[in-house]
Amino acid sequence: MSDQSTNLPDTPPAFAAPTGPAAGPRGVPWLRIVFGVVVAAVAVALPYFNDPATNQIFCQVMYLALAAMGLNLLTGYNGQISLGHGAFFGIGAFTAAILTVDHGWVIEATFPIAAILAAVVGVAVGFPALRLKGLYLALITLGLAVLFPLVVKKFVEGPGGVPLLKPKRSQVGSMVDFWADDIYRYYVCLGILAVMFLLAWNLVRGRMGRAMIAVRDQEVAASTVGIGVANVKVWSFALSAAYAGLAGALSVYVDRTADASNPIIYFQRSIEFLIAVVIGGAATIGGPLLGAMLLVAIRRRTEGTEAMAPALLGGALIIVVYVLPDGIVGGLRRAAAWFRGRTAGSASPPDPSPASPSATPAPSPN
Amino acid sequence: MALLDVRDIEVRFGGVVALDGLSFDVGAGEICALIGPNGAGKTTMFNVVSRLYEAQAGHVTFDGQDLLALPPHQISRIGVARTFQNLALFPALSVLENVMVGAHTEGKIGFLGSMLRIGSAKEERRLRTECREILERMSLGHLADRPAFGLPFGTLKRLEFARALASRPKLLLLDEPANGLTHGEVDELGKTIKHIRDEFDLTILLVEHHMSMVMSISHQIVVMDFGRKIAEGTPDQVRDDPVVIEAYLGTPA
Repeated sequence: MSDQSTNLPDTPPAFAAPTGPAAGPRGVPWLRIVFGVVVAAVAVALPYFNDPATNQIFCQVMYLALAAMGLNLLTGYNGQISLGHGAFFGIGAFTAAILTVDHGWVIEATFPIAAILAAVVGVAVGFPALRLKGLYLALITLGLAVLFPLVVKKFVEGPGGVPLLKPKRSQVGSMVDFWADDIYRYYVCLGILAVMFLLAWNLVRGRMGRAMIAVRDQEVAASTVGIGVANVKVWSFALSAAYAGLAGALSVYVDRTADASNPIIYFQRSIEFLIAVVIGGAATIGGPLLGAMLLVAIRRRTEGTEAMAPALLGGALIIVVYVLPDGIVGGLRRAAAWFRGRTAGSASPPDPSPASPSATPAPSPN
Repeated sequence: MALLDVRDIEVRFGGVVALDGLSFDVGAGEICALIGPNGAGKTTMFNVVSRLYEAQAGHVTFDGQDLLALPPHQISRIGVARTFQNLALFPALSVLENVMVGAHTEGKIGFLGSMLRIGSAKEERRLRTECREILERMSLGHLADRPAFGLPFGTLKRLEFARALASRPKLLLLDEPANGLTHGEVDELGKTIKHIRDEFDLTILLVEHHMSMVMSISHQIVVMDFGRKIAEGTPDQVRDDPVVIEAYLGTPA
């Protein structure tokens, strides 16, 4: 079983002291702090300068970003491809819609239920998914998204026998006097988005986030260092589904519609989430948000011309895969590294052994 | 009683018998080398101990426990760590994070704890400090925040060694640690292995083709051929064993 590898003559001396730059103590990242404060200020001020229709679009960006972040946790960080997240989104949407329309719940109270229910179904899908990888997993989960509207049709009957539920306008109204309905909904979405992105950020830079990445990159090595691979994969599925389910509930809140009358609508959702992740940058925190912004922008530009939206999206996807294989965030990072390299290069002698930021994906060490 | 006790292990892949009733034991604190021609079954033996391969027959006892009853991810928890022949690092993570993944079993924080940051900050600080110390020990401290991807092969070998140490193992399995290193590096590596064994109170089982290193650091050598043990003993005993010489050089026609 042991194959003798040949000696690598060009391997640099490993036990000599490498000459790379020492990772010095990090200064206060002023630029980042200023940038963060500006972004937060713009996000908070935004709804006051726009009409209700525009604020609704902002909210659509946010629930799309939330669902894309869910898929990003699973596919970007844990390496499990899912085309079924439209179904988890749909579960959240119909949970919120059924509880408000049929049972008179306050819609805000349905959000946690939607997330938990989607997570439970996520676990149910996550276990059989342990046996599948790559395209097979994509295909099976795709079936989930296609199947979902059919299941809904069996159990949900809206007006006219169509599986479509619409909460009353009063049910998605503002709960405070000083904010109009659209501004209130914007802040609810913004608050949820901020919290969920913060939770995701905490997760991926902690112990379990490292474990998710380890399982993605080297499953065998991950198990030999003591990571319960099955446990990590199923948890990733559940959390990811919870994000999508919460996003689905928010979509009912924002658009006042849970619709399963179109048989491929949740399949289309799945593809949207995946495109948002890939365009924005998989395995990054900002990626899903940027991807969702771009996706909605493209959709707005092509409103009314039915054929244009898929064409533009497809075009954008191809351009990103060729020019920015690690998405917008990856591209920005490389641009920043290049810029730093230039400014550092003019001040000090060039770094003799730069860690090459390469466009090619890291090779599997085996 | 030996720390690792391998008894009559048999592994078959279809009709191919990779291990054919292999038995040996490794005492606590020893450095034991598995040597033999290519295809003798050395790495297969490692994969049986780390539970990546199923043995069709035989027993492995580690520290009094039936090792073959445990799932692969429990092996690290009872104190067995390993490196891989062709490296199995996590290229997307930094050098420090690679070692921190190695210390996975030293932490407790789960998914929800990580997300809500309940008790995770303290644990992260502790793991970070410990892993930095291990990196310093392996002279990798200055690379801690670099991504593992793109570093030279020899550096990555040391990083994998560091990752294995991070779980505080009792038994360390090294699969061809000198493979791909230059002569100077191999001498250095031999010293490192000995020092690390003393410092971390380790028992080491290694597969290695680099004979001068094997002879200089091992207490015991197990020689394998075609899945069987053909000789066993101290470096001096093995060196002059005619069976060993025959396995390596063949018999005169």
